[in-house]
Amino acid sequence: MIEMFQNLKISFLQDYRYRSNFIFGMLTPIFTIIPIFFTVRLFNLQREIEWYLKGIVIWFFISQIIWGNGVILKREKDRGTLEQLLLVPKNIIYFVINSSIYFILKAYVSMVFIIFISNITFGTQLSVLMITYILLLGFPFYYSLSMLVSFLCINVHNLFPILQVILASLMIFSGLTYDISFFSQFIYSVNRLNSLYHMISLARISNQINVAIILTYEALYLLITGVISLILVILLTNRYIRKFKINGRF
Amino acid sequence: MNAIEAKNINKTFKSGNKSINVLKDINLEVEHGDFFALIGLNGAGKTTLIRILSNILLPDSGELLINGMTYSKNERIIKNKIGVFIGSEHSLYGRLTAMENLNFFASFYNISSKNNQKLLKERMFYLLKLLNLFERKDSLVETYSKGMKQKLLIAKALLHNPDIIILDEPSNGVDVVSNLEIKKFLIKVNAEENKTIILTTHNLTDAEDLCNKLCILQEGRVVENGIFKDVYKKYFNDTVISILLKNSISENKYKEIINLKNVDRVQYVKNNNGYLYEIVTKKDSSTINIGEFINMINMDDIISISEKKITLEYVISHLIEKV
Repeated sequence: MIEMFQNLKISFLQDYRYRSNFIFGMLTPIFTIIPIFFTVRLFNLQREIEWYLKGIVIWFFISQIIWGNGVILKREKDRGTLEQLLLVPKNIIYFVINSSIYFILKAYVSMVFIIFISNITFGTQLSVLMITYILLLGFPFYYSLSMLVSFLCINVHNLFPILQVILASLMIFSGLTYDISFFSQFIYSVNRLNSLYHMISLARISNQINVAIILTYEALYLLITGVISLILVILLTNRYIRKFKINGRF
Repeated sequence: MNAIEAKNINKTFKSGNKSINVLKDINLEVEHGDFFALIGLNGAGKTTLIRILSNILLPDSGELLINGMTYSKNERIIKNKIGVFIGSEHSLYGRLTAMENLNFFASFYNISSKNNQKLLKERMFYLLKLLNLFERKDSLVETYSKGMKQKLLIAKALLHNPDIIILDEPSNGVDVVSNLEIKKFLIKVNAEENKTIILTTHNLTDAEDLCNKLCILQEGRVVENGIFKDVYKKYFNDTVISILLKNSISENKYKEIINLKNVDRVQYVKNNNGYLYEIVTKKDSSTINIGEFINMINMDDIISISEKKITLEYVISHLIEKV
């Protein structure tokens, strides 16, 4: 536990001492709220604002984690510190997990801030607890996705377009900000395999925190696919590290 | 049980369609308490071997035992027993202080639990004081000089009090004072704490000053391995007299000198100040009759005569010529 706090402190200090990154990072929630304010009536005429905001809030949280985790190992490699992390007894996954705790907390604080502002500005009644509950259910899935991105991006020179493509795909095919039912039947059916879609649906059908949500089809699908993808990512990561040890490069 | 035992280690890297055999049948034995030098030219395979010893790379074949254990079965135990210095000034977090850097890396070892916090702090202070970094312990690492960063990386490698210390060119790019401090530190750690140290370096004087054993690598092969003194004796149980002349020696005189008692060979060495000849005695015969030799050449021609001291540089150049 003490190691986790040590890592958390170090991640915060590193972020904090790159002042511009830190300040703009903290301002992201405000930058997210402003376009919603202008676009909500344009693209979402027939829907309630709460319906739209739930998607935005969840997308904001997930994208923050994928964005944050996606660059963890790439940043270490570019700095020249990745090799030092391979010398230590603990697996590099331990480092990725510990580093991501900071991004999760940061994203969570920002998300709570967005909900708070939205409730005041738009008069919505979004429950932080309910959103947290849904986010926890989907956590294994999007977290393993972010770990996968982190390892895949080590050798990519320009991460920005890759992360943009990943986040745009998530945005389009998860129904985060609009109903995906207008896609053709085929795409709609394929999209139902997407765990994030079920996560968003779950958030939209539940208004109050209810433990029984876990027994719904969406929640079970989300949990099962999440656990499977987490196991697969851990196995894949170990394979990836072994590949590095054989070839001398990722 | 040896500290490190490598048996028939091979490593090949693929570059496009080509395969580069970087290490070929490396056999190595490092005993506990040894100060072991790995020496070779650039591309000889030193760093690859160090990386294999540190488990950053896996060998294609062969067996590696650290304290009698293999990485495949006891990776965590071994990594807690070895301290590795690999990398450069960029291998630390510039925006963190020295203490924050050490605390961060300590969190990956078994030393940072709540009960060990006091001991860990004491260890950090001890290392920083020994390496003359204590006064700057709360400064950001990005404000450090290259030498200071190298020293902090050494402190990082020794943080968990390992039994075996592996250092890949610790004096690379470091000024004379920092190099001297690093050398003093390593001597102290080896002598007083009985740590096993493996060191690669291009600075042969450092290797001679610090190490008791050496292994010379050439094109991925071990060309010499053993105790320093034995290696010197093996190759240079002979005396070399350097003589600098104003004019060159004629062919007839050359033949006469070679026929002198105990002289093995005479070799010409390029020199800007005149004609430099090295007269090498036969093995196991440490003397030549210098008077007899001087009689053979014109006294006015002699600029200087000296006995050449055998250095590691001389050993290596001789071995490389042989290869």
